[in-house]
Amino acid sequence: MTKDIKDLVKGFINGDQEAFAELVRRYKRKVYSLAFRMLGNHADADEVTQETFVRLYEQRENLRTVGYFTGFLLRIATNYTIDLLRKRNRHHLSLDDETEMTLPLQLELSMGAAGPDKEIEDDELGVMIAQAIDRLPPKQRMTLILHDVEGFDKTEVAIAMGCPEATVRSNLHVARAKMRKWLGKKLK
Amino acid sequence: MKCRQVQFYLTDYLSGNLSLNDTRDFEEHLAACATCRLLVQEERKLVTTLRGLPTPDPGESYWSGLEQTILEKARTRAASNVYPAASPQRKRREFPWRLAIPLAASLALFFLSLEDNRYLERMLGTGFPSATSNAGEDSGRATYNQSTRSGEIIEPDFQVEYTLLLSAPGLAPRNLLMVEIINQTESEGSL
Ligand SMILES: [Zn+2]
Repeated sequence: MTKDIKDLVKGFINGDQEAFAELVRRYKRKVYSLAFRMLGNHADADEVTQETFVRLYEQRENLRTVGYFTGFLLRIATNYTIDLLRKRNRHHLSLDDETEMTLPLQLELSMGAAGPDKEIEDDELGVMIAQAIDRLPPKQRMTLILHDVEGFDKTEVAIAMGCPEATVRSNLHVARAKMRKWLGKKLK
Repeated sequence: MKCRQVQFYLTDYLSGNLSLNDTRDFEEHLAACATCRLLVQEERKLVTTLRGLPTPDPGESYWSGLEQTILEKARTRAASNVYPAASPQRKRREFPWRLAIPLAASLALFFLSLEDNRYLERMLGTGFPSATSNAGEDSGRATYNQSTRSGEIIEPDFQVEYTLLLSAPGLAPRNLLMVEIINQTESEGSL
């Protein structure tokens, strides 16, 4: 019953609508979660999720020549998320801007809706970490969220972000170092 | 291994991507260095907590309708791409040929009347400076072969081509490095 991604992608490219629906089913939570963590509210996360899959559908022909479905999908999601982020924060010119950004922090609100499989021992630390993530500049934040929070590997993150793996590594390094600095004693 | 190398290998060590030899060196250093032990301990706690953050979840009522919404949107958009919406017919503007000859004549008279024909000279490009070179822009290409752990490769030799564009002196190196995947997947617009 459970088809592997490779077969689903093949079916999808060849026009199988059910394969597409199954891909949406399998990846919707990842895309939503990524967008929510970046943008901090449901309306934007919903927009990113819908638009990502609609664009995936439009660009399915390109999947014939692309090796990674996940990277391809994440790339669309990441691009759209960063576009939205830019629109929401017009005064921030550069995505690499070291200025700490503050978004309406609604991650806390989502804490209550966490699934049973994702309990964290220390709720207070969880909240502090969520706030610290929001202080990171967008590209470092995106890298940290994709790799450390959502658990994608460096190759997938590199494709998603459109950069070499070395850049993923250094963004991750810097992001984690900042987090450690901000969280200080809490991690001891 | 030195403290600096420990910092460098920290990410790989925690994700289990370090070679056996490097892992041994890494751990030997840890045994002897309290500062790095603390660093590893903090980073491990950070990574574990990050991985355990609750997933934002708008609830089942949202998820249940989503596939259908997306599918409909995708079909609608696909349909509008195949049969582009008829744009309002624009009346093609005719060139006013009736005015062409008198216009040309008066222009000719205008130029001829100018002393030294300086305008004509300039318009014909004799005094134009040559096009400036695109100084400050330097590009190079590198090709990378990549593979994922999840092993979902369809084409075994998938290659990602990166174009490194270096521009505008005076910016921090990080800002100078703009990297793009330039294969045909790039039709979704620029970042
Ligand atoms: Zn040390």
